[in-house]
Amino acid sequence: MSTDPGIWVAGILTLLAYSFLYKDNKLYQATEHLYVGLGAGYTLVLGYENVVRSGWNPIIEGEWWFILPMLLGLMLFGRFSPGTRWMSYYPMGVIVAIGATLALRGAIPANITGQLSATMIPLNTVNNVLLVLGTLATLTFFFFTLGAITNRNSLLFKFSLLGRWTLMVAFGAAFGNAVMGRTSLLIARIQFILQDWLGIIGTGL
Amino acid sequence: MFDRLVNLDRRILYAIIFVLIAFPLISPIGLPISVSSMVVAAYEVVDSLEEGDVVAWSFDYTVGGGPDCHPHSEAVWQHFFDKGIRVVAVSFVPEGAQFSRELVMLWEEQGKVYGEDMIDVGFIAGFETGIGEFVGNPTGASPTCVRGTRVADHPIMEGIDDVDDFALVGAIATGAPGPFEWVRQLAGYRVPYLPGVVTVMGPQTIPYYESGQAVGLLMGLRDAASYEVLMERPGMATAAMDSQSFAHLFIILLVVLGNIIYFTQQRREADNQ
Repeated sequence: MSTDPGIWVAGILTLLAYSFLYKDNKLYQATEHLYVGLGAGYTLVLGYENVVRSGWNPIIEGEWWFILPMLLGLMLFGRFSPGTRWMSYYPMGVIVAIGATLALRGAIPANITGQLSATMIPLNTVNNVLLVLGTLATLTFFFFTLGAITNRNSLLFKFSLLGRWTLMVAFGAAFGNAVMGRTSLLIARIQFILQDWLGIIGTGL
Repeated sequence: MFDRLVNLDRRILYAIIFVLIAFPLISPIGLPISVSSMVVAAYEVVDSLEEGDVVAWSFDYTVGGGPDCHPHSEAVWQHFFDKGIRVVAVSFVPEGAQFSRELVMLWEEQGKVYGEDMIDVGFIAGFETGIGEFVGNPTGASPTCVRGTRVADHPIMEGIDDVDDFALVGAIATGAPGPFEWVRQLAGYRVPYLPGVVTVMGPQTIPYYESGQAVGLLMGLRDAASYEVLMERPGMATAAMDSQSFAHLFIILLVVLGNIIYFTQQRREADNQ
């Protein structure tokens, strides 16, 4: 069994968090609030460190142009008062402009041309055929403006049904992954309790 | 019987899941672990790197997703250091910096030299904007590392002017910024990109592997276990796989049972009408 007080605190808090599974209780709520508070505190400290490291220290070392982003950052706080709200529009504009430009720069090769070329493949394996057919059928499912798609006897409508099934398979895979992910989180906590805290199991196999 | 099952106290199911997970951890069975082609590709890319190469590794995961993602970093870093590869750690999610700090300290205890074998650039704010800055200027995106030394002054950063000077970029994520942001920002660069994601994000990320925009893909704890198997170094991820298999079997059983009950009740109601 661990003698580290930190492990004990983490172990007890884990049990308190899981006590919700039995029923909602005050101890669970206290743990939840503690978690939120710790998260907020950690982010605040990290944000402060980041400003000092990336903004304040370079200014002190003579890189005076770092004053500009620092000033823009301070102007963001203007939005807390109606009289000074206008000040926050300028840094916000800079943030949106830079963010949008950076995202757009890579969006076309990353999400359009890259994905399109990945669909232009030889139809020489079952996987490739399924991939191309599934992509086309799914895209067909999202045609809402063609008359043929509303006609239940049309070939296009039947093809769009294949798209619906492809989507269902994708949602099923996503759900399966969600279950697997949540199970992994639970395993990690039980591993922590049994190994790090109680010392019932050893490390590794 | 079906009525009793429908009204079964859910806490009984929780207890069964707990036992099914805890039992194989205490007494491992060693069920076989299959390895996906995406993990094999990831392993082969890392294995093809040469001693002295410098890679960037981004810890873009939160505490909530840590158990699903951190084993990726642990397994791949083991592989890196087995091969003498040097690592630049960075994070674009505030909580990710905690994981990088922990791993760097762990490897320091194992004899790796901070500044030469690895450095921790720490958290860079701005999410995708931060990634864009790091990709274009890895030494300038954050002037100093977490220990206060100028990033550019570390020997490991010698000759690193942009992201193409890294032999590989690995980024493990639980959400945004994640593969979507990384692929966008790496467009136009030649550096191989290896994403790792929390299991839930897997299906959304696979297209990047299929299109060749990612050189491999690690999805959740399972793929960390697969990576450990490929390295022939079974660790905690491998130990967890028996539990995962047992829990999944039970959940599959519940899904099948739930469907049988649902359709049986529907038929019964139709018969009554």
